[in-house]
Amino acid sequence: MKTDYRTVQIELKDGVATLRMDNPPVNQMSEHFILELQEATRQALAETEVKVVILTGVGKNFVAGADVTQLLTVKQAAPFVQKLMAVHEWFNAIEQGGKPVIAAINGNCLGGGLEMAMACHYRVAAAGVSLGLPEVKLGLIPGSAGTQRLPRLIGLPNAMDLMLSGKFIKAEKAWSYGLVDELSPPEKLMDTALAAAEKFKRGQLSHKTRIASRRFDRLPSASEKKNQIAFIKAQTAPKAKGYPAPLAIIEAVEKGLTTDFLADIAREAQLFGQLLVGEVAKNLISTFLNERAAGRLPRIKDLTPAKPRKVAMLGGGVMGSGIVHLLLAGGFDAVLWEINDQAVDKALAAIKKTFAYQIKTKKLTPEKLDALLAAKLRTTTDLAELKDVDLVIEAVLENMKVKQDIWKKLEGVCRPEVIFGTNTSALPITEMASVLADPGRMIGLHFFNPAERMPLLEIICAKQTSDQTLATSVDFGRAIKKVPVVVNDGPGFYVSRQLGGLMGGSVFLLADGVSGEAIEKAMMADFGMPMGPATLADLTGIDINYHVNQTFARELGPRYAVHPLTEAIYQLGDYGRKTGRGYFDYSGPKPVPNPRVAAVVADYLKRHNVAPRQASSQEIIDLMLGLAINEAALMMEEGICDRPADMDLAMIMGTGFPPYRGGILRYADRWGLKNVYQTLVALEAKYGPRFAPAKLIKDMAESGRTFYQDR
Amino acid sequence: MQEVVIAGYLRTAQSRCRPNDPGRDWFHQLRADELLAKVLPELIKRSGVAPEEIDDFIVGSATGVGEQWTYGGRTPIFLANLPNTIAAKFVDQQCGSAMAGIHIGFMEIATGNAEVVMVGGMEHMTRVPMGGTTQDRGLVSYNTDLFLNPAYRHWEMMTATNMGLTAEKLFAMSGLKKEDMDRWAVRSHQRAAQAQAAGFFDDEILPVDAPQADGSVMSVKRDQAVRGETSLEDLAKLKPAFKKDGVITAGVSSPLNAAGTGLMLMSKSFAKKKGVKPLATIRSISFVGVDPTIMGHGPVPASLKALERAGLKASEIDFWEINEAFAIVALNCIKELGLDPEKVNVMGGGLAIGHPLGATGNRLVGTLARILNAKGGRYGCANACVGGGQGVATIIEREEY
Repeated sequence: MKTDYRTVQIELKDGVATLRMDNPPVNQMSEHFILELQEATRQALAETEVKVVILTGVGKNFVAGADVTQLLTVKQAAPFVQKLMAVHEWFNAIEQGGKPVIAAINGNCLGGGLEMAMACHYRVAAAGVSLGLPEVKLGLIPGSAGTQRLPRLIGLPNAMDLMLSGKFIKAEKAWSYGLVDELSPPEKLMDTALAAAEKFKRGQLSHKTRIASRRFDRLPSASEKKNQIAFIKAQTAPKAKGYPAPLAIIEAVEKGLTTDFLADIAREAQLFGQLLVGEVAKNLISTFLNERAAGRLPRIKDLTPAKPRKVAMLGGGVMGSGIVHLLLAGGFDAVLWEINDQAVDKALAAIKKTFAYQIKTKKLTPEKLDALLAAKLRTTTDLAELKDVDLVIEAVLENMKVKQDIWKKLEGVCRPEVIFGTNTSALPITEMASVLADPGRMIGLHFFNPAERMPLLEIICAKQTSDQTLATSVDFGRAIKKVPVVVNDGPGFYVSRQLGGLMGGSVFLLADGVSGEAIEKAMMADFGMPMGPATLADLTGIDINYHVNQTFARELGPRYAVHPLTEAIYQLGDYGRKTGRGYFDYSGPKPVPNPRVAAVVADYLKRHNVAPRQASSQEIIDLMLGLAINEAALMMEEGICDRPADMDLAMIMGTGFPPYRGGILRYADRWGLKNVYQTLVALEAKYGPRFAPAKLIKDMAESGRTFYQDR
Repeated sequence: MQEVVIAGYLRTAQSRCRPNDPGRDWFHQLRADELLAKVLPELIKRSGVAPEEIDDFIVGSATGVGEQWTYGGRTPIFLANLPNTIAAKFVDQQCGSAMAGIHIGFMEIATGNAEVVMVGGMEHMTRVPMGGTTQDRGLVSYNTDLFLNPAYRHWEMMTATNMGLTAEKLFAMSGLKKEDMDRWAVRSHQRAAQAQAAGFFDDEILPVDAPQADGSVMSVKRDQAVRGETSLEDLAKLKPAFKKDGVITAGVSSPLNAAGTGLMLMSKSFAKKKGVKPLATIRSISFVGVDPTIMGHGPVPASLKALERAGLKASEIDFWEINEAFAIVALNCIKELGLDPEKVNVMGGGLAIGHPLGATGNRLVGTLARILNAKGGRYGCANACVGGGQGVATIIEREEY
C-alpha cells in the first residue's frame, strides 16, 4: 500500500486503515491535497486487507473547507462543474465503496470537510469541535452534495437552517441533530473511532444502512416539502435581497431530495457553478480574503508586536464603556480612568449595560459579570495610577487641548514603550502627538459605535507613528477580535470621509429637484445601504455634519465648500433624532418626512427656479457612487490610504456597505473606470467642482487600469 | 355488556415498500399519517355517523417512532381536520397493533364506556424502515443486557428479534416441507390477483393520488405487491433470506408495505338507532403470549382462546383470515387447528396483499367481514402472529340486522 503521500499519513492495523489528513495550515481542500486524498481513499477501499477506513485530521482541523483563493480565480463555470462532479464521484465512492468509512472529526469540520464526513458511514466527533456549511457567506452553496446529504441526514428544516445561515454548530448540537453519531472526549477520539470500527467489523453496525444518499426516513412527504419550502422561501426572500445563494440553496433542495441522487447532485453542481462565476460570490470571497489580509502590511511584516496585558481606558462614556467591554472579553486587565467618582460610577453602569445581551442570552450570569469586573477591572481618578499599564486608549472629550494635556501628563507616568492610542474621530492625530517627546508612540485607534459590536477598528498612523507602535496596535486589534484597517492621518481619516463622499452627493440632487424619498429609496432599497443620506444624517446630527463639512472646506479646499442648501437646512435648527426632527420628524410612532425641511427645500428650488423632477434610481446611484469613488481616489492621491482591499473592507465592516457589492472600489472596477470618469466629467459640468475627477481616475480611465489586480 | 358491531371498514391500497430504492414505492412521497388522514373522513362518511359522535380514536402502528409518532393519537385527527372532541390513543402491539385497537374499542363499547370508536392503523416501511435501521439510527434502542447478560440468554434475543429466524425455527418444528410454503405463496398471489380482477377489493380501497418519482401523479387503487403471474418455479429459485442454510425466502415472507387502514366500531343499539347496517358483530377477542423465538405459533393458542370464549369449535368457523407474515404461519395454524385450507385466506393473504405491520389488524378483520357478506358465511376468525411472541385473534359473526 502506498504510504508516501505528502498530505496524508496512512496507518494500517488489524484491518483498519487510518488516513490522517495533514495539509497545513488548516487542512484546506486545495487541489493537490484533494488529489492525494482521493488516491489514498480509493487505494484503502480497494486493498483487500482493509476492512474499515477511518478518516481524521492532524491538528485543529478535520477539514476547514475549500481553498477560496483558488475559487476567486475561476472565470468559467463549465470546467469547474466538471471538477465538482469528480469530487462527487469520489464522495460517492467513499459512500458506496462497499467498506465502512468512519469520519473521526478531530477539529473544525466545515464546508467540503463536512460534505466528505457526510459521505462516510459513521461520524465520531471530539466534543466541542465546530461543524457547518458556511458557503452561503461567500455567496455560494454547498457544492459537494451538501444540499442533498444534509437534509437526508438531519431533515429539511434543520438542514436549511444550517445552510441558509452558514452558522457553525458544536459537535454536541450536531449529535442531537443526528449529524454526528457519537461524541468523544477529544483525547479519546481515536479510541472511540477504533471501537466503532470494531462494531462494523463484527456486524453490530452496518455501513449499508448508513448510506446518506439512500436515507429516506428524514425526508418530508410531498405535502410537507411543499409547505416547508414555501415557509422557508417566505422567510428568506426579504433577507436575501441582493444575495442569490440562499435562493439557490432553496432551489437545490426544492428540486432535489428525489430518489435520483445523481441528478440531484448534478443540479447542485450546476447551481454552484453559476454562482461561482457571478459577481456576488466574487465580491463576498474577495471581502473574506480582504478580511484575512487586513492589517498585514509590508511595513510591519518583520516586527514582533508587544503583547499588552494591562490596558488603561481613559473615559467611560459611550465609546469608553464599549472598549472596556472588549478588553474584558479579550481577557485583558483593564484600568478605567474617569474624571471623578461620579463619572466612574456612571461608567461602571454603562459597562455593565454593554453585557446586557450576553446576560439575556444566558452566555453570562450577573454574578459572573460581577466577578469578572471585580477580578479584571480597576477604576481610578488618578492618572498617576496608570504607571503599570502596557497600553492607553483615550476617549475623552473631543477637545485638542484637553487631550494633549492628558497625554503630556501620562508621558511622565507610563513606561516609554507604552503606546498611546486615541479614539478621536475628528481631531488630527499628527497635531495631537506633537506635544509628546516621543510622538512615535501615538496612534489613532478609531472604534465604531457600538464598539463592543462593530467589527471594524480603523487604525490611524500619524506622521510620526513608529512602525513598532503600528505593529503592536494591529496585533492588539486582532486580539480584541476586530478587523484592523490601517490608514494615514487626514480629516475624517478614511471611513468618515469616505462615508461623507458616499452620502455627499445627495444635496446636489435635492437642489436639482430630486425628492429626498427617491434618494433614500435608491440608496437603501436599490443599492443596499442600511441607511440613506437623510436617515444617516439624522442619526449623526445635521449640525455635526455641517461642522465637519466646514472643516473639510477649510482643510481640503474649495471643492468641499458648504452647499447653500446644506447651509439653509442647517439654519433651520432641526438637527436630527436628538432634536426630535431632522430630515424626518420622529414625534409619531413612525418617522415621517419633516415638512419644515421640505419647506426649506421647496423655497430653495423656487428661488433658483428649479422644478421638482423624477430621477431614476440608476441616475441617483451613479451620482452618489461616482462621487464616492472620486473621494476614494482623492484619498489615495493624498496618501491617506493605498490598499483598495482594506478600503472596501473598512466600508463594509464600518458602515454597513452591502457586502455583496464588494466595496466602493470593487464597484468602480465593475462599472469601469472609463465610465466612472465620463460620469464625473458630466457631473462636474452640471454640478460644479465637487465632482471634478481626481487625477487618478483620469489616469486609470486612460490606461485601463483597475483598483484590483485579480480580474 | 353491549354488543359491538363493525359499522365500516376502509383502507388505502398497500404499496410495496423498498427502503433502499424508495422511488419504486408508489407511496414514497406520502407519510403514513397522511395516508391514514385521507381514509378517516371517508370512513366516517361511509359508516353513517357524524364525526362528533365518535368517542375515541385508537391508532396502531408497529414502529411508533420518527414520523409515525402521533402525539397520543392526535395528529391523524388534526391532519384529517376532525373535531377536537374525539379522544385518541396510540397503541403498539407490533403486528397486532390495529387489532389491539379493535380489542380496546370493543371493550370500551362493550363495557358501556363508549358508543362509537374509530380504529386506525398505519405503517410506512419505506419511510420508517423496521429492524436494524431504526436501531442504527437510535430511533429504537433495545436494552443490550437482553443480548449480552447471561441472565437473559434463554430469551434468545438474536432469534426473537429477527422475524425470519423465528419463521425458520417454526418451520423446523412444523414437519412441513419447503414446497408447501411455496405452494401456499403461489396460491396467495393467485387468489389475490383473482380478487383484484373481480373487483372484490374496490369497495374497501380508497384511491389515493400519490406523487411519483418521475413527477407524475398516480391514483393508487390496488395493492402493489400482488403478482398473480408468480409460479412455483420462480419461488423455488429464490435464495434463503435470513440464514445460509435456511428455507425461508423472500417469496414465502410478506413484503414490506405502506398503508393506512380504518375500522368503525359501535354498539349494536347505536347502529340501530342511526339506521346503520353493520358488516358484522364481534363475538370474542383474545391475546396470548408465546415463546418469542417461534412467534409465528401465536395464532394457534390465540384462536383456541377466542373460540372457547365464543363457545365455538374451529369447524364452525366459515372463513379464516390468518395473517401471512410468513407462509409457515398460516400453514402451521391450519395444521395445528385442523382447518380446511379452502376456508383460509380465500381472497389471498399477506404474502400477496401485503403486511403493513401495525396497520394489518384492520385489514384482516375488515376484509373478513366483507368476505362473510360476499360469500354468505356466518362466523369468521381473524388472527395474527406478533413479533416478540404474541398471538391475537378476533371472531366475528355476520347477522341479519
